[in-house]
Amino acid sequence: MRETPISTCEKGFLLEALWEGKRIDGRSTLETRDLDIVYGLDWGSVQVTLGKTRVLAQASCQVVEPTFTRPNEGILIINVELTSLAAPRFEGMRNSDDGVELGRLLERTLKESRCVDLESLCIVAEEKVWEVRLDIHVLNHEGNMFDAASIAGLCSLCHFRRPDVTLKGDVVTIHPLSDRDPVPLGIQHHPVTTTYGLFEYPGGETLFVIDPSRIEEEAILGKMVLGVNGYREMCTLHLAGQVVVDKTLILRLANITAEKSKKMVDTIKESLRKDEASRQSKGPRGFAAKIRSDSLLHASVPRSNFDFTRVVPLARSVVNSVKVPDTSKTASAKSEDGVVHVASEDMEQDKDNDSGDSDGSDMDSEPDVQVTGVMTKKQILESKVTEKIDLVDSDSEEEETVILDKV
Amino acid sequence: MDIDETNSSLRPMFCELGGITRADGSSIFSCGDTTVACAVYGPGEVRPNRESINKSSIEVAYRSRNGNSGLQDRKRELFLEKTCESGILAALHPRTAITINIQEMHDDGGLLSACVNSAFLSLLDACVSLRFLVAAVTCAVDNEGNLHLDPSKKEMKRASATLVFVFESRSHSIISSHTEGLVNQLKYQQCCAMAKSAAAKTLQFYRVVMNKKFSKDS
Repeated sequence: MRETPISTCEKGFLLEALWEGKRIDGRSTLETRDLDIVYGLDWGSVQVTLGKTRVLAQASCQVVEPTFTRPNEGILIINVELTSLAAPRFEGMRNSDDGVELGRLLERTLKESRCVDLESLCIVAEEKVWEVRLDIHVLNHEGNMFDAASIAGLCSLCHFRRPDVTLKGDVVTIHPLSDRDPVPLGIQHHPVTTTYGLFEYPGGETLFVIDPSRIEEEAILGKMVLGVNGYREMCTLHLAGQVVVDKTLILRLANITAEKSKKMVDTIKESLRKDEASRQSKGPRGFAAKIRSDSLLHASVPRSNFDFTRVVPLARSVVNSVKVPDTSKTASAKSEDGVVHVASEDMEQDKDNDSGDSDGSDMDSEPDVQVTGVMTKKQILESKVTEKIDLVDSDSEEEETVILDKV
Repeated sequence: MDIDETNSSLRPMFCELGGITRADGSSIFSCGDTTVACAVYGPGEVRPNRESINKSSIEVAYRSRNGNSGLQDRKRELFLEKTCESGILAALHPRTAITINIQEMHDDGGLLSACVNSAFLSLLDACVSLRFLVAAVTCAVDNEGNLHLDPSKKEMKRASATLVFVFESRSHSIISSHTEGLVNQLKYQQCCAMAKSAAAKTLQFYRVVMNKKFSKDS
């Protein structure tokens, strides 16, 4: 579904406000929106809300054969699905530009930076390794999907637990969750991306804003995404758009990102600790419970109990009162050629004038069709025969002739 | 054949309307721990191959939490599409499409019924004209013959049959039903009767949700 593009006056207003240092939603140029991380009940399930942008991430694993080029390492697959849940223009086409950009960015940040220790995912070299699959679903796109998705992906990988594996000689035992506690993945560092929307002053200088909202994203000339981990190491650098960027800007943004990333990683670690604490204390967990306690806009009803003592007799009476369909009305007429026609009493063997079809069809509903004659099926087939060839006494040159009976 | 005390209850339900701001209508619905997010767009632009001159085309897209979409997802989409088609007054909007997108957030049993309820709550939020409201309920029959209303995932795994009933609000008759496993007529009628009471409660919940939407408190 097409979206309404941003109007010229909206864009003009946004730019003029920015030139004066004001953003439409009242934030400063270096202020990000509120971040909220909610973990689900399953390991590796997390929903991240950045302002109004919502992203759901889910990690899962299975045992596979390793790739030929890297037989000692596990596999990490990052799958991004942009559906029209997020925004009307994403119509389930996997290869939309935004989806590819997001997928590639996450791969560079989480996979190519080697933040997950893939060697620890090896079970038997060249035979069995763990394949960890990270599914990112964008639920609502209100600007800056990249940051929300990268935080969600990282939280999901940090939260995820895989089943424990023991190796005794040649026998590999994968313990089910009821047997042994699952084991977390080895996360070596925590890369987080920060997105900057780039605009231009009338004089040509570049202006940047952190964490652009949806309307700002529609007006930006360029976008820079920097991924920095908790140790101030840069993992990702991505520039898109039509803006001229000089190296001083990149260095400046890198420094800002390093500060922001440190705080973000601390927030993520804190949220993991809180989730662990609520698991231990068996407090309310999961999306339903968390949103129920936090959201102002929700409506809820408590558990409803029913009294079903009358259900059994009621059901019995319904079953007994249902009329069994009457099969006695069907009449089967055996015709001369041995073919049995089963037709109910209501049906008549009428000849349809146009098609010559002899299926019993009730002609009462069509008063404009006149019944001119009644023929049985055999008669109709006989009338279609144009030439009778006698096979038995013919001068066929075949030694043996077999006549198949009419089936 | 008895109905266990603890299994004759409908888990607490909760719904947040408008959580997905991009959509015309959206709901995040949870029944117990089963949580489903749904967004409705429409009536809006339709692709030419799905355009219909006398009614709106109802399109459902369902996504599960992990893995590539498979046959189970397509089955759910078809069920939802047929159920929604019966309830939406599609003839009011010819040559358009109403898109219903569903994302599973957590499955603790009764996922299909949660999807149906969530879809209709989103349609209400989007102010799409409906013929009636629907409420979907799941029942499970276990190996001993006990009936469980609104089963959890564990109960559904152990069940010999699970039944989903969708009732409409005007005459409380069934518009859709989905059964997996074998069940005899008597059990089916029992489940149906149980589900009918539960559906009535669910429809009351819709009222609560809509009251909250239009109240001045939020």
